[in-house]
Amino acid sequence: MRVRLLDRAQRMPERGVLHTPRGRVGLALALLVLLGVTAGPPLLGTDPAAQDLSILLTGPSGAHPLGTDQFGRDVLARLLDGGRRSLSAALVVVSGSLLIGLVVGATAAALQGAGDAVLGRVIDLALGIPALVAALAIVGTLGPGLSNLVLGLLLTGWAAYARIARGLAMRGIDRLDVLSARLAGRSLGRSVAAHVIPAVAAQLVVVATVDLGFTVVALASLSYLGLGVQPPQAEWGTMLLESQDFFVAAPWLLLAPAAVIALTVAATNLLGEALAGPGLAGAELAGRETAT
Amino acid sequence: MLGVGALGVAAGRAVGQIAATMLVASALAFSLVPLFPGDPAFAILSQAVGPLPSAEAIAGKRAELGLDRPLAERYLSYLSSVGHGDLTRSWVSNTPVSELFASRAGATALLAGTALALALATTIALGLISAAGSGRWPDELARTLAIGGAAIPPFVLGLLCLQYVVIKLGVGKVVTDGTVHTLALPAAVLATGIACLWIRPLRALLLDALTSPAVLVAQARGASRARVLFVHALPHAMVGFLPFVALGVGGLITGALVVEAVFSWPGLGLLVVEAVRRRDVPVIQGFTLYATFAYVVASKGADLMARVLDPRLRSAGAWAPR
Repeated sequence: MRVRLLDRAQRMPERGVLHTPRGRVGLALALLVLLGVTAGPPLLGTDPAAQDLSILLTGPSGAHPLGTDQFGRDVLARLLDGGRRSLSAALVVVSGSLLIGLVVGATAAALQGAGDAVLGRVIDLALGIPALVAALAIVGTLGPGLSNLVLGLLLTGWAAYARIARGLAMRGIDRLDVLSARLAGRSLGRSVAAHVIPAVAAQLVVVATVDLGFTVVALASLSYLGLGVQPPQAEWGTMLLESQDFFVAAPWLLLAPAAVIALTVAATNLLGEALAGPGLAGAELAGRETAT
Repeated sequence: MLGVGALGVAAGRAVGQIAATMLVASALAFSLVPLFPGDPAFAILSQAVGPLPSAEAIAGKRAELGLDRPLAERYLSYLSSVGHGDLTRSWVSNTPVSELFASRAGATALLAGTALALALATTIALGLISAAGSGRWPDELARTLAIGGAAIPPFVLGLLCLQYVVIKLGVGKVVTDGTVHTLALPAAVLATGIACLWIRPLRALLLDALTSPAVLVAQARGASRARVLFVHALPHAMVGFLPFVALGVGGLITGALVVEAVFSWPGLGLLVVEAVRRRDVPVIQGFTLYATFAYVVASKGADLMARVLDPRLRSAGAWAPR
């Protein structure tokens, strides 16, 4: 007999991501963005920092497909280079939060009793401080910069994952295969590691997919406020901040970063929705980074 | 009276949790001060008077800020000041932080309140349309709008609005003044971000409510489609939706920060962004406390409200959405 770990709202769809149109669009967009930032810069071969004062604010052309900025730098090269920075920082934040949350949540569920009560309280307290507020506190004291920003977003960002992991793991521990593993002489810790953690991790990855888009937005928003990636380094939010005064004369400086941000977030949203099925699973994290 | 007693216990526990969270938030904000790179007194003086402040001036400033006392002692005295409503003074302007906040709070409350009301109205309208036309084009349209809207972060939407609505069409102002005359655009931008997060959860909750036995019974008794939607499904879904409202309030606090920066809306957000840039630590500490308080009160309040509205939740222990 197979006992379901996940309830209806959180169950993985039986048919896979590619069988829904939204899932297919999401996957295609995600691959496009990933391919762009990984293979793009070497293929393009343009230096994102190279200034050419003879071509300030020129519109899209063959040599510069997305035009140039106020320093004559190639916008496409800066977008791709900035995407590497945004996406890798967002990956660090999301995978770090997921790992910490998984360990804390599964430990709480396995400990039960007093240990669970203490860890549960810690998770609750961390959940009370929005990740962006913690990030502002860190950046405001330690100074602006990408590494301080990543640290700040990690500081309480893991708690949302820990809460979900704890809930799922608690239900998982009552399952028959965990029970039989324990009856066969395995320790509680090993049974949980072998039978509960993989299923919980799979669920957290669904949540993390949506969260990845939100984290990219959080990083871009704070960089736009001048608190993240510092010029002359490229990043999507930083590019918008730097070129703000030239949007009227050169609208591509606004539209190009806006479009890649929207594509990235749409990709993670569609993909996350397709992975989670038509439930509320991913939405639970939604309010966190969101409205930045 | 049993229900009221359980509610009282839940309310007491919520107050305790809020107090504990505030302690953690204040400790976090305070424990960062020793990590301030360099000497804050030197940083403040070199910003205020010139590049090379004298040793006596630095020592005087350190004593004034209390930096010469042990951290634990400073933390306790900070806690006691905060307990008395005193958030200490700004390092940059030497104005009391609570005065700075009070001068900006009105504009932010106006912006956030309007955005909240707009977002709720939009969400309920689109959620109902989506759930009522589930699987057909109104549903697809509403969901696509939600995904599209959620993909454009508020600061980008704000910049696009400035470029295409304000400058091209000449509607509204580039620099807003914090009054109702320039409120429409910033509030709409802020509300869009929140509403796009809310529509899909509300739709899922409405669909869930529409398949509940209570709705089936109502339909069997001949209730009209509108009556089923508005009287039976919507109130049922709103209870489950409360935690999302609380999450939205969290998004509103941080969203207001960015939208205010884009539109130069003279509210708290603009003040805090400026403080973060100049590393005005007391203002940042005050904001950390204020934002945490607002968020935690919203989420605990939503929890309590759900217990008041739904008697089934009163006896249950920990309560979570679904």
